[in-house]
Amino acid sequence: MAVITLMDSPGKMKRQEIEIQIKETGETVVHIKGIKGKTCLHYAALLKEVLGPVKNLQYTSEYYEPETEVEITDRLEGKKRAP
Amino acid sequence: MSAIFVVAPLLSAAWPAISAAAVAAASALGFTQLSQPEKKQKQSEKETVELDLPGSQVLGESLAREEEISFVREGITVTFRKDIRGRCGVRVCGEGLSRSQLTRLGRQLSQRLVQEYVKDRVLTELRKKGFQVAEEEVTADRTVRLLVRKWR
Repeated sequence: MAVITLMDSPGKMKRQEIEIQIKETGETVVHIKGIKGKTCLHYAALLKEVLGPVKNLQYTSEYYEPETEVEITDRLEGKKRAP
Repeated sequence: MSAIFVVAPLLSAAWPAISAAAVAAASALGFTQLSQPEKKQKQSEKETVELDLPGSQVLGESLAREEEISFVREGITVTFRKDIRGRCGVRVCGEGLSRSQLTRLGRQLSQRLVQEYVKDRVLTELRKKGFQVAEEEVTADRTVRLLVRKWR
């Protein structure tokens, strides 16, 4: 029997990082790392709300990766015999 | 990597948040905060320049009145102010300096204020989301670089 489990971080914790560079002119570059899909959008929206309008936005390949990972396990189950 | 974006920050906050950033900016550049009476006496008959803080808008209940906070360093007085419309600016006055030197100093202080404001706002919000500061540095081009991190 195949058991399919949706896991956010199978087996280990994942690192989420945001790098913020505030230039002397005030222009701020925000780099969201290791955060995928909707969660990435959530943080981007939060920082836009806090700071101001975005001049340039670029999603990287990781943004398009699914937030959850699929783990497939094959399991053998014993059948009960009829008496 | 997930996303990279560039923001031109707006100074949109209540006066206490902006004045706190002004204190941090002025202190970082060696200025000491002045009391109001000292400020009135010392600003008379000196070369003075006034600059606006672009993108500034003070919010909240203090909007109806003017606010000021002043600092001094080696005979130069700097005053961050808010007018009744909520616009912010900086006034720099001092003896022995040209208008262009005072203007350059005013711009430097304004930029530092914006950096302090952005840093405080960003860290406050991201700490609420469980992030902690992993790295903080000021690079050679005076960019403030922060790296915040959390595990989940």
